[in-house]
Order: sequence, then C-alpha cells, then structure tokens
Amino acid sequence: MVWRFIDHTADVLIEVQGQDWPHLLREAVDAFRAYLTGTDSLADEAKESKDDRLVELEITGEEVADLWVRWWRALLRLWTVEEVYPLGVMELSCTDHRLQAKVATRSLEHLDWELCEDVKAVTWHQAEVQQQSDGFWRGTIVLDL
Amino acid sequence: MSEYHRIHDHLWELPARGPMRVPGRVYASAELMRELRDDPCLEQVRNVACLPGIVGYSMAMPDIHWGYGFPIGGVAAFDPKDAGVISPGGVGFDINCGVRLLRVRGVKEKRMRRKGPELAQALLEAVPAGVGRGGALKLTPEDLDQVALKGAAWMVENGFGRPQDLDHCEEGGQASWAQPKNVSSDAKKRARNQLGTLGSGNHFLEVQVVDEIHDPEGAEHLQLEEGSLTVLIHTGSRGFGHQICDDYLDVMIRASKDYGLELPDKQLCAAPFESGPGQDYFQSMGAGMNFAFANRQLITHRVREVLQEFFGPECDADLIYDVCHNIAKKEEHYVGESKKEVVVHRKGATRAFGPGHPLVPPAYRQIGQPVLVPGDMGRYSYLLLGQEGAERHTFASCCHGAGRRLSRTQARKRSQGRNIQKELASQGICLQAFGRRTVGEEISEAYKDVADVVASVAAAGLARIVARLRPAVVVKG
Repeated sequence: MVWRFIDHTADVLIEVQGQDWPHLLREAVDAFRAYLTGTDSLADEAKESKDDRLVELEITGEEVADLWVRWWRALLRLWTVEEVYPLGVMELSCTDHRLQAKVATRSLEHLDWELCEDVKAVTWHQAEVQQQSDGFWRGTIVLDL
Repeated sequence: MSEYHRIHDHLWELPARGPMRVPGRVYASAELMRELRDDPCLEQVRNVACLPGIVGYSMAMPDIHWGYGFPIGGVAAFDPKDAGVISPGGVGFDINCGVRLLRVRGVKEKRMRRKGPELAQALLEAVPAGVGRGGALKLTPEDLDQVALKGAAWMVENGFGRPQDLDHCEEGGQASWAQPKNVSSDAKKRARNQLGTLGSGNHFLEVQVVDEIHDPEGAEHLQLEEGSLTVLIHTGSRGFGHQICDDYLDVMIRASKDYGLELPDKQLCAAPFESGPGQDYFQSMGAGMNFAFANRQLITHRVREVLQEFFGPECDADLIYDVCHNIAKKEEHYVGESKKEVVVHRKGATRAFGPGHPLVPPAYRQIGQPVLVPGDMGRYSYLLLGQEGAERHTFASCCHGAGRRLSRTQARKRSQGRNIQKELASQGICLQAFGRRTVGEEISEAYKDVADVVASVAAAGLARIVARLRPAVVVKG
C-alpha cells in the first residue's frame, strides 16, 4: 500500500506515492476506492461482475498539480454521477498537461454502504505533486466530507 | 500566532496589514479567543479581507473554524458597485445548508419518550439518512428545474406542506434570482434521488424538549414553554449544491485570472458580482438554495406524517422558522452610518434581523427573526432572536452552531471501545444512525459547547437567547 489517510480538521488528506507520475495516478485510484468503500483491497470482492465496465477519461490541466486535482475530480464524478467505483486503471498515457485513461469500474450496488464515506468534493487545498529526492513521486489531496 | 486586540469582552480586531483592505473582527469570549490563538482560521479572516470590494470588516462568529478559502463562521459583504466580488468559497460546498425548527403539538414529552426507539426508527425510514441512501421522490428533469426555480414553494404546490410554511422561511423558501439553466447536467444527475434525504456527517433530525426558557416573552410569542416538544432539521442541498460549488470553483479560478485578482488562497477564487461569471454563479447558487429549501420542506412533510402515524391526527408540527447558514445574498445593510446594497456572504453564519425589520415575517416582526443554533447530539441546541446590534455591526449575522473542536479521526479514536448509543440512552437520548462511523465522529466532545458560543453572541448584542432545546430522539446518517 503506497497511500495513507491523514487527519485533516473535519476532512481527510490523502497522501499517495508512486514510482513515477503514471504510477502515482494509478495508485490514486486504489487510494480513492479504499477511502470511499472502507476496504483496502479488492480481495473480498468478486473478481468480476457482469456489470463491470470500462470508462474512458481524458483530462487536461495547466500543470501537474492541476491535472492531479482534475484526476481526483474525475474519479469522484464516477462515484457521484455515474454511480460506479473504480477498480483499476487498464490503460494510461499521460504528460504533465494531459492524460487519457481507461478505468475499469463497478456499480455502486455491490457496496456495503455502512462502510462508505460521503465525499462532497475534491478540493484544491494542499493539492501537491512532487518528485522526491529518492526519485519517488508524492501527491496529496484533501477531500471535503 | 495571529496579532489581534480587544475591542470589548466579546469582540477582537485583527488590524489591516499588507494587502488587507479592511480589518478583521472576531466575535468571541476571551476564552474562545484563547483557543483560536494559533488556529489557521484567523489567517483566513485576514485573507478574506484582501478581496476586492469588501466593506466594513472581514468578520467571524464565535463558532469559527477552518474552512476552504473562507473560514466557517465567516461573514463578509462586498459592494457590487465597487467591483465587489462573489466567491463560492464564501458560501461553501453545501449551498444553503441550514436549519428548520418545528413546534410539535398534540403530544406530551412522556408519551413521546415511551415510543422513542420506534419513533427514531420510523423517522430514519421516512427520512433516509447516510451515504448512498436516496429518497422515495424521483423527479423528472423538468420537475427538478421547477424545484430549482421555486424551492419550498414547489413542494407546497405538490402537496408536501402548507402555504403558511413558506411565510416562516428565510426568503420565503425561494431564492427569486435562481436560474437552473447554468447548472450542469452532472449536478442534476447527482440530485436525482436526493430530495427528502438528510445525508451524512453533521446533518441530523432531532425531536427535542424545551428544557430552559431564557426569555419568557420571546418564548410566549413563539408558543413555547418548558416541556414543549420541537423538531430540528439540519441539512442542505446535498449533491446538487456540492456539484454546483465544484463546477463554479473551476469557473471562478479562470475568472480570477481574467479579472487579475491576486488571491492568497486558490479556494478564495471569485469574480466581480456584476460580471458574467459572477451572475452565473449567483443564479446557480440560487438554484442550489432552492433545492435545499425544498429538501427541508419535504423532510418536514415526512416528519408530520410520522408524528400523526404515531400520536394520532391531533398531533401536528408547525414551522417556527427555516434559516440558511451557507449563502451569499444581496441585502441592504449598514456600512458605517448609511445603508447600502451589498453582497453578504454567510458561510457557517445565520441571518439575524432584529425587531421591526421588514424582512422578518409579520408573526415575528415585533420580537426579531428566529435564529436556530444547533449544538451536538449529546447536549443541546438553542433558539435565539436576532437583535438590532447584528444589523448595526455584523450585516445582520450571527453564529450557526457549536463549531468542531476535534477532527473526525480524533473523535472516532475517542469513541473507540465506548457504546455511544448506550451513553446517550443513559441521558434520555434515543439515537438511531445509519452509519457506524458517523456516531463516533459526532460525539459531544467533538464540538465546542454551544452554550459558550450563544453566550458570546448574546453578550455582543447580536441576538438574545430564548430557549435551550435538549435532544430526546436523534436521527443521523
């Protein structure tokens, strides 16, 4: 697990690490799912469900941190508008300003709602992406609950 | 540490410095102020003071705590004729989060308490609460647009309330400037099954008992006495409002650049009120306000149905008042000694017009506008009346709640190993909650004592305390 949830006033700050920028974006998907569904892995869930579907996302941003926030917002949109949650990234190509991804998703009907968190929005507060001295990438995001 | 000085025992000033256009002012007792001393929310009061067109002071109520951009508990007014701005960060994600109070008649406390657990369960079924729990009312897209235009009035027109309910809502339960045309399809999709639902977090529905009367004249006017029953509903515009705010943060970040606004915090993004983006947000926020008014109206209808099912047709609930605590509105206020039209932002603050104000419903004009201040599920809430002091000094604004003291995680840690439901039961409070997490996050210790908060606004002359309301049945998400 390369993410952690950090106490942040009434909300939550999620810190994610990746070997590189694309890996950071992929790990964000797992962190997002883990936070919202209350489960760290997909191990307890069915491997496949007949209503799983691939969603294509194309996002542009002014710079890496901007793209990072918009990636999280797209993930939250899957949850709140499309009523699915992400299982993982199947394909991903990205630069500092643009990303295209195919994300495997599953219907919210499969969730135990008592474990789930309500997220109002992804915020710009403390939204950062940095490559660290050890070469790893670190990203932070605050969710308004 | 933030630099400030005392104006009087319940008012502190943060002097204007650097890019601040006006000073900051915080209404709080010395004790509450000591707790805030190193809190970043005071810096947020200063940041708001840097926005164009701000008039008077960047203010905060005693329940201030950190928020996105503006602090929660923040009040600021901007002059639209002097490039004054409107900012989604000054309203918050939950547009028109607010509170409404019902006076229950036809049932006494003892009889209600005998049925406490069943009543709590029935209320939770009638008013879905918690993550992912939608309501039974499914609207067509056309109906949703009408809700966004008409607010609580749409509910009344469709049989979910009484015409007199509208007289007892801020703005008559309808933001007249609302326009759903600039609300995204995502917001509309998010809202599709959320009318008549509480949501999660700090939202709640409580059946309460009036346990202390502080102002017998005010209480008599409001037909309340010790032992009277009330219902307090706290919720907002749900996903509809959250999405409107989110969508317009994007718009306003671009607009801030276009208008050359220098922002100390990205979440303070804004646009001149009279500009295209400013007006689009104002109208869409109005749509969000109306969704919230309609939501609380539908919940009121469901509560009335449950009360009559339990206690017979003689039991009923009259709406005392419905107030918003996350909004931006055009209102006329004192700026110095003269009045002018300003765009007042109340984020975690409640309107509090005093006696005689023309916008107070006729039934309350003599005593002032009811101000509803929820506390926490283990202690109490308060009913106040707005005073002229608020009109003179705070753009007719007052506190909105207790204010969080512990983070959600800290609260959950404190509640570990405890049976909160049992603890509350020992205090005569019957709790019914959908989610396990919420109960731990909402323990009393997570909040300031709301009694300290209302004491401060009363001492500052912003409102007078009428009654304390103790929870008997609590429904949470």
